[in-house]
Amino acid sequence: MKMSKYVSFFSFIFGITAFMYILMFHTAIGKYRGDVVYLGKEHLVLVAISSLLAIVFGVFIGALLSRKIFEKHAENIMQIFNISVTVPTLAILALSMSFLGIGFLPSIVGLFIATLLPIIKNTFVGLKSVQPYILEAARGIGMSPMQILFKIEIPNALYVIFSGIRTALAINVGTTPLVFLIGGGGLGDLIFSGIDMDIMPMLLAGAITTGILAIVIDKTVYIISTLVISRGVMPENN
Amino acid sequence: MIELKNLCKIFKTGNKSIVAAENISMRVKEGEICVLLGPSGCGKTTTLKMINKIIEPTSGEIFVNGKNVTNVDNIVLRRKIGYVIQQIGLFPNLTVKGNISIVPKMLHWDKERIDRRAEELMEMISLDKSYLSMYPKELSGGQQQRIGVARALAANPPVMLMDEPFGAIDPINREIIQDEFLRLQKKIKKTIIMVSHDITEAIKMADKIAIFKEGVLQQFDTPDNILAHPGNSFVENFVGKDRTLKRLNLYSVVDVMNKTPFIFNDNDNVCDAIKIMHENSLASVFIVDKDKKPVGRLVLKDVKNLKKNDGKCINYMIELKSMIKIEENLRNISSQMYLHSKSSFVCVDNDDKIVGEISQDGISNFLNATYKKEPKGYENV
Ligand SMILES: Nc1ncnc2c1ncn2[C@@H]1O[C@H](COP(=O)(O)OP(=O)(O)O)[C@@H](O)[C@H]1O
Ligand SMILES: [Mg+2]
Repeated sequence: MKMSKYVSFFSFIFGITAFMYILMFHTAIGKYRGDVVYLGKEHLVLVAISSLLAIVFGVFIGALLSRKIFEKHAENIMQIFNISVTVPTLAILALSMSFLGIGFLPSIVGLFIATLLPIIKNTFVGLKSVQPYILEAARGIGMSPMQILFKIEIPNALYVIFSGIRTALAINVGTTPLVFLIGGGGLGDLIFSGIDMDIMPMLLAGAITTGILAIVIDKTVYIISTLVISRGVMPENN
Repeated sequence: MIELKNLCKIFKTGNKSIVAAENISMRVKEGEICVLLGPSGCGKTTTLKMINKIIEPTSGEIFVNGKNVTNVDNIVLRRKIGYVIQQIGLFPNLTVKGNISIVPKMLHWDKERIDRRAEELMEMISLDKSYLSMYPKELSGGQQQRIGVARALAANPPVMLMDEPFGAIDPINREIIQDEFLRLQKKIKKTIIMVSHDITEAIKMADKIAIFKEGVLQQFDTPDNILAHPGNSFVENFVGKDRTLKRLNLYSVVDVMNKTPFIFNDNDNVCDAIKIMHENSLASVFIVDKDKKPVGRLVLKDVKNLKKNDGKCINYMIELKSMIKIEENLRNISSQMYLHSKSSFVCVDNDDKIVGEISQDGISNFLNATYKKEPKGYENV
């Protein structure tokens, strides 16, 4: 089982690399190779910093809201979060710019906020869906609240938390090209400049690379999730 | 030892308050199994959970091994009390081994000791070691329940609280697990409080039974006394109209049999046997071979007209069809008596040697003995 997972992951990476190689060395897109590498790095930095921050904060806030002290207010707070998910990510970036100006920082903050909500939501829901009698058993054998959170609650909620992280990363990677508009750089540069100047290969260089990044990141997170989540809490047929 | 003193619990939900436990006092001795028994909703679980402070009492005191539990830190207290919850509650993210090692790990046992203990526990609950690497969802209900018991036993706590620990198992496997558990308890001698709503289970497992109704303790006594002398009409109805038959479950042949029956060797003269039967007004005697193994029964009415020197017992006896082992319980024996229309059986030990005789009259007298001490003033019997 595990072995075949690795094999399929590496053949996937190999396929992607081969595809990029052909694209970069045998098509008109190859002309933008240097830009793709430079802007691609910028892009990855934006994705990595904003999503790592979002995961850390999202899991923390989700876990906090699931605690007993927030019992009364958690549902209302989650309702507010649910509504804010419907705000378009472009509007979030615009808001971030209007407070923080243009550049790297407002881009990170905007992406962070757009990414945060699904993680908070799934962490909260995942932790709340651990059966109360399991928690009672944990208390009954003398586990402390911290031990219960880290050894029982989070491990059992991990499948739900990870599906939140995957949704969040999809949003993050999809939104990142837009931060070019508020001066954040990244592959959005190629896309929007390509549109502006009506240069198809330039646009494609940005768009295809963005798409491939999205797929690779999602696949990687999936692989990590299968390694981290206990077989005991994986749904059947997985 | 566990002692409850005037324990009360009142649940307040909205404007209603439910009295789940009312002024409960009882004492469970070291090494005893006490079964909390009663219909669903009568407060058994609530009472149990107050002992390890999962539920806080409204008033009253609890002592575990002499210490008032309110003065003991929750976590310290709970690690010394094995706890089996009604819903089993294995941790889905952990393997069987992870589940049963969790308390030893928290107590910082070294790895080797934890491994050894895990294997030992699997042996105790009669599951193969190969299950150690499986996850709870891969096990049957019965297997999960065994693991639940093993997890509670892991750090060898002196006290165990078990909430319907055998509830999720089909009747056949339940009996097997109950028997296994009783055998285990003989060795480990824990002080156990166990919840059950099943009178048969209670009779089988308990040294003491506490019967509850609507939060009030109705009677706290040995199974035999509860069955023979129900304290009020609720208890009487709860234990059932066949309560005397249920008492048969509590005793085995060895408790009741006549340990000095009249026996003759197969080579003895039949007339000697006839004489003894006349003298002691016996209807029959058992015949044994030289190894003391019963081989037949000599019935007086078949042989009473024989004269002297008429031969050996072996020539006149009726061959024995069934023998009873002394550890059989009385209920099974009574059933066989009806099945074979017999009023008595010969009892043998594990080497098939004769050790006694059990008769219907003997059983009746044994069961009746306690009624002679029936407390006066209770008429509904
Ligand atoms: N947490 C709770 N809040 C309110 N009422 C409760 C709670 N737990 C139990 N009760 C009530 O207390 C009574 C006794 O419950 P319980 O001890 O679970 O009964 P049993 O285990 O004998 O079936 C029931 O009427 C039940 O509804
Ligand atoms: Mg109950």
